[in-house]
Amino acid sequence: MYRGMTHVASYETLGFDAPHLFDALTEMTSAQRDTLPFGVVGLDDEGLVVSYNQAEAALSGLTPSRVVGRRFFKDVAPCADVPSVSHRFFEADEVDEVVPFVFALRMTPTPVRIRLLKRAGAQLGFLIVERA
Amino acid sequence: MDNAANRVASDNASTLESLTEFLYLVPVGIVRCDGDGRIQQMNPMAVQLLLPLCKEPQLDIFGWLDRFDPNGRAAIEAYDGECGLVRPNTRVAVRPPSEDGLPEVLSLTITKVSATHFMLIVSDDSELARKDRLLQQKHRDLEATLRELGETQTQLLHAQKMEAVGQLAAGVAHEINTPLQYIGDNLSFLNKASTNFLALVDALENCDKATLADTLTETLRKRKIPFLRKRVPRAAEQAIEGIDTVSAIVSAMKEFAQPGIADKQPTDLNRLIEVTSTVSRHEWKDVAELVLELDEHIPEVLTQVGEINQVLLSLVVNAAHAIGEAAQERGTITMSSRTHEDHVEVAVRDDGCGIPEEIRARVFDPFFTTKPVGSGSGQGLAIARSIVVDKHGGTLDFESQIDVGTTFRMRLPRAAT
Repeated sequence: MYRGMTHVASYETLGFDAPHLFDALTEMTSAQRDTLPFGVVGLDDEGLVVSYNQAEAALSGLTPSRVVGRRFFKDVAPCADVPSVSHRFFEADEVDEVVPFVFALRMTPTPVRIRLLKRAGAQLGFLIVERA
Repeated sequence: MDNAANRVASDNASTLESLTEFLYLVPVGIVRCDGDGRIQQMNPMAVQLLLPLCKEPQLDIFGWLDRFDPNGRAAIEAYDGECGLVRPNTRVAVRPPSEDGLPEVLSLTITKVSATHFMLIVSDDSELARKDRLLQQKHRDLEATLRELGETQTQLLHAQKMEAVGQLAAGVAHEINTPLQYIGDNLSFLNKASTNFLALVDALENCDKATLADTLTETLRKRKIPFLRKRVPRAAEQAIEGIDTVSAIVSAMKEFAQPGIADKQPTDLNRLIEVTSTVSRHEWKDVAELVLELDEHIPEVLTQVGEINQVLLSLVVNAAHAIGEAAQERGTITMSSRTHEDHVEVAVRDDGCGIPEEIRARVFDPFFTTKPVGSGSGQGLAIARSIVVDKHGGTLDFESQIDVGTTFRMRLPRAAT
């Protein structure tokens, strides 16, 4: 399906906890993000979904086309609009921390870890999602 | 896959999708768990409402439940019914208001949905709690208003009493004036008599022994001593009677007003009837006789004396007016007391004009009066009723017949013995 895989070979070892994940994600194309084994949601500074990778789509059951352009914490995943996730994501200019969470994906509680990644001045912030 | 199978699959998918969407959008948290509390299904709202309760997300409903309804676990574990409500609508305050815009009160309903599964409905009741607080505030405001109203009523009561006392004062002054007149007349007569008696004594002392008999005869005649001898004792008696009358009126007036005594005290109602009939004499004496039919064995009851006097005065004054309006010659007001098993009764009966049928229902209404503007506040019977019913736990009612008369009956509960 994605024939450009060879171009992103250098990212194959990139893990959820990688220290330089923010820089790596910022450089990657959306096709490259699709190859990552964990969910990546790119949000602009207003919380609108700008990118939504394949792993995240597989986890949530939502196609990127239904999600992109919508307010993530209001329309896509309102359950994450709680102090430990959305509040923490927006209240600081720079964030890099992992919070435990449960997504009610297709009504099934799914424990996940969410890494909140945000830098001052950057176009996008990221929510990195991995099954716990 | 053929087209039909495709269509069924697609229909199922869209049904599932719309159901899921419904469960996502419904504004309550829905959690399904097994008997051990393991969460099997939950919608995003459930996560959103429950998550802030714990530091770590829980997959065991008890992990959440224990945080805000410790009795929830016990309720589930103890529940032995087949299916049904385990714990209906428990409301739990989860945090102080206004922190982070989070729900302040959650309401939780636990239902057993099958032999092995429970369902929890969690809803955000903050709005309800806010309205509840508002309602309680309104309630407190209302209570304050009611208290003020009560104070106003007490003031009104006092004002009415002052009005009655003021009205009585004029009558009482007149009542006192009459005996004072004849006390004065009698005293000046006695003064003159004493001058004559002293003149007799002087004449007898100063005269010659030889002319004693002549002097005595002449002075007795000149100083009208036989006449004075006959009249003096009666004049003294009358003056003393007058003094008694005046002091009775004054002490009745003092007893009637009872200034400064606010507490209830054991009361002889017969005495109150006598006092009221005395102080109100000026109100009725031109139109009626006043007859007392007192039960001598009436037990004491606890009353606020000044207030009960005010009631009796209102009744007597109304009776006098009823007789006055009947335009007959002279009527009769009968004040009676009677003892019943659990109460005592004071009745004030008149043979006046009676109360017209159409106004009977309004007799006790505040500000209702049949008298011309300026001559009555319309508060008398309203306040009388309030005193008897609200302050003494008694009853005040009446029966009336046109052109035959009206009887008001005040019943007061007998003090517990």
